[in-house]
Amino acid sequence: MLNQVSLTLEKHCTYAVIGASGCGKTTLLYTLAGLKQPTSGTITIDGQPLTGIRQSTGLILQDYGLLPWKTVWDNIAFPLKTRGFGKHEIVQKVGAFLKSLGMKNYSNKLPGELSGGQKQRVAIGRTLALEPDLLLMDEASSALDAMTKEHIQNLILSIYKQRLLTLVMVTHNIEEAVFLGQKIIVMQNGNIRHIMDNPQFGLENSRSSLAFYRTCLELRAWLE
Amino acid sequence: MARMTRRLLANKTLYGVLVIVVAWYVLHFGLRSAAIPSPHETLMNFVMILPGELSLHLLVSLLRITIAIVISLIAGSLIGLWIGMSKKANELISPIVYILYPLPKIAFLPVLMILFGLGNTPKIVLIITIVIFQIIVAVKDGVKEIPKELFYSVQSLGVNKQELYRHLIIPAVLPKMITALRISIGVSISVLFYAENFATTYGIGYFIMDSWIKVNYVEMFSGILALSILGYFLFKLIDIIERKVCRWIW
Repeated sequence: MLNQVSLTLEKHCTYAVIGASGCGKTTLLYTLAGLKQPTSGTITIDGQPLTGIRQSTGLILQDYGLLPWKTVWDNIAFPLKTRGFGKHEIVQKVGAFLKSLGMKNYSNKLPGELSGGQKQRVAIGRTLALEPDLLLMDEASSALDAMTKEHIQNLILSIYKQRLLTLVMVTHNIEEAVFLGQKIIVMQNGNIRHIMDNPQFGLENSRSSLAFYRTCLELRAWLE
Repeated sequence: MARMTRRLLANKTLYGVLVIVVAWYVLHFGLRSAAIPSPHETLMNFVMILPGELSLHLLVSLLRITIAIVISLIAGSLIGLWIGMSKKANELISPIVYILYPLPKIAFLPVLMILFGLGNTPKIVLIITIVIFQIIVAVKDGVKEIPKELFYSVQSLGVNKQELYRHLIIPAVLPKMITALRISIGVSISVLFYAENFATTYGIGYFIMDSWIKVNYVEMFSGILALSILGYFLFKLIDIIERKVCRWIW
């Protein structure tokens, strides 16, 4: 899928990876997550070669993120349990995340009882509870309607601003890439075609400025 | 009248029983054969012999079915998980399973009786050889149906293999396992009925055939009623278990 991709990611920077279906963006993300091994070459994170799944890398997928048989509370709590957190600490952590994501009243619900946006909030909460320094997202907002999509994008941006983690997100949505990517990686046929610096990133109300759409047009040109 | 009909339909069990009893009466009066005694006669006989003889036969049958199902469930799930998770095991075991699955195992009862003697063992083994394949195939398919993305997202949380089974794989195959179990109950009862016709003087299958030989049709029907009630309760028990352990599918 990927053909001799060489890429260096800066710490505390956000990257949006964009390209047509089948361009290899998801493969790139899974390789960064340690779920797929490159056939040749290596990946180094923080000076350490990546050999498998890394404890402080978080991964959020478009769908299927939550376990359907666990309540919202248990979905966030179980990875904490498996990492040996104490009971008291887990209660405190899960409670705090549910509250900050506005999901406090849903803790006993099953994922099947939630809307798409609510599910994605819980998935984000679960990943953040593990305090990752590298957050990977695959089409995290694609399945959502336009308004919910913007809410989730705002949430992701505010999380980045609070925690200054490194964010790599795969998207096929031009506006999302311009809203969330400090640098935008344009992929084509398993290769990186262009890396664009994005001056619009992180600006207040960026979506309602004309400059935002100018950047979108510029990105569109790279995709054609 | 309309209200009564609605109430009757709301209680599904009562509705089912009523339809069957009416059909039974129709056959009884329509055919006028001694081979079909009336429901009330059967019920009276059933109530009379249940505390003594009948419950003993029922208990023996229940024990045989329970042992066979528990063994099939444990062994079948382990084999199903194994071939579902390991490509190598799938290549090695699946072809054998697919050839053995449709074989009429019931025809091997004489062989089993030669190998395992005349007691309970050949009857239990016969049920296992039939039921275990349904469990293996259901569990294997259940594993295969777990979306790849769900695997990735749980693995990315840094869980080990044991936790992957506990939090993802086993809950994911549970509904399939329970469906297979439900189908197995019906099959086990039929197989047991057959097996209890040989080399035993206990069990509900023996009781029914023995009453038949004695031309005691009322007693024979009491036996059939007992076997049906046993089947019904096992079925309901599985429903209750399903509601408890697979809450998310309800």
